[in-house]
Amino acid sequence: MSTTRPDLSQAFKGKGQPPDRAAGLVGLLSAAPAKEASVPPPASTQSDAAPANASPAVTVAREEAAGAIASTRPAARRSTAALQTAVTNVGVYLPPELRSRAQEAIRVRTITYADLLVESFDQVTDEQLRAEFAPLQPAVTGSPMPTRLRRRTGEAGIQVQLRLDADQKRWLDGRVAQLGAPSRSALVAAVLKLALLA
Amino acid sequence: MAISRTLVFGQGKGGVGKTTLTTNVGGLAAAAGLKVLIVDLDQQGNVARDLGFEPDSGDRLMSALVTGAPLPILRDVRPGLDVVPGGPAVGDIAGLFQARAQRGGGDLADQLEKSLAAIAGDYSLIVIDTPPGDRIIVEAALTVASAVVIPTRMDEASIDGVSRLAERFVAVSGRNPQLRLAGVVLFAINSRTTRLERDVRAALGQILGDAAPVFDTRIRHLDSAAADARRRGLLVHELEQAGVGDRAAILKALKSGEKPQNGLYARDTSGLASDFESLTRELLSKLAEIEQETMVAS
Repeated sequence: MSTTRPDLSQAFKGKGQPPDRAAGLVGLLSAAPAKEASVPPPASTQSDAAPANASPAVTVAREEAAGAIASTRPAARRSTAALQTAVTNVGVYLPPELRSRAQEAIRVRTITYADLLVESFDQVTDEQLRAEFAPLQPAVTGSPMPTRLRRRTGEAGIQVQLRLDADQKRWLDGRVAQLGAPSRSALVAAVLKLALLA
Repeated sequence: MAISRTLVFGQGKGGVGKTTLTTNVGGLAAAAGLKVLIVDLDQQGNVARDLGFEPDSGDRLMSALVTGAPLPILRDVRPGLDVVPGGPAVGDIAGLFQARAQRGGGDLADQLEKSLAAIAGDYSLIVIDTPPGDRIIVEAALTVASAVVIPTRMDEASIDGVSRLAERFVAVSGRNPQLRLAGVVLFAINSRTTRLERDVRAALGQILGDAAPVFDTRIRHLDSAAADARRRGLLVHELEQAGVGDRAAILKALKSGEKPQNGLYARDTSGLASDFESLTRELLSKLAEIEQETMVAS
């Protein structure tokens, strides 16, 4: 007796990583005008002695600065030097537990994920990181049939955004290649894991 | 009197999604690289629940507004996202400023403008959540804003709330002629009620005329995702990401013969996350448009 069964393989497959919801929103609204061009330091403007006309000046300055850049995306008018120092969001995926620890660490200490990553790199050695990415030894050895080393697989993660400038991003990508990490996320997760959970 | 790029979510009725929209639009804008400040002027202080930080008493915000001290800012609640937390004490602000105004002092709008203007240059976008019924707070928020978005459900009471917000809008238009209605958002819409949605859109179109659009995107109704979001302190697009880890944890538990713990109620939040993404896209585009119009007019 044979029955034709439907193919259920797709139904049981994971959905994979969801899309980056913010990626398509970049550039719709230009970034804020430079702070220096818009407002004096908060401490002086927020005191009771603040001039009564402070806010219209702020509004006008912000609008003028915005007007200068509003017709195109900000990046289109930036100089090369400005581009190198421009900070962009770099999404990385961290396993849920690690992400919670990292989130707690940045909240308690009021630092950013990028600051936490810089600190964490200081606390771990290249040997520790290489060991994280070393291939897994085969479960079965000694067989006449050759066995292959397996690449470590990552864990599903939750995205966090690192605010990195071009130099930082280039350095991080260089480290991914040097250390043989399968991805930027894997390297960041390994560094934070060794620093926060080890 | 408007502070540029200051967006208010306002409605005369409660429970229509003001806080959820404030946090999710603000969070997505921050994730897209904008520096965003969320100001919680609602005494319920539910911005804390949405973003997963410890609820605040609102005392510091009230004190800052009353004394003119710098606003209390929680930095980097998310990358690029700062929050001025609200809380129960915010409910006392209206009475204090009413008394002050009666004595001839400045009103809440004056102080809110001073406080926000001092830090506005640090942000690409300021988003203000307002309470439904507090006239003084809502009008103060509208007085300093450059744009307002009105969320509404599809029931008659919610649509009445749109009218109440319109009254507040008219009341502040003399002090803030730059204020624009960015649009109306349909919130918590059941996907099966297409005929009702069509009729509500038509009714709102009649009310609003050419003053502002009803945004094409409507936010679908998903109780389970709303519960998950506030239980975990995650925005909807983060919940979508968390779902991946959650599914993996469930599979792992099942494989080891254990009962999965603390799973998400919502099986799939991708549709809802997509709604918020689309709405944020519409809204940011509309804000850029309003900014252009305002600059041309001035």
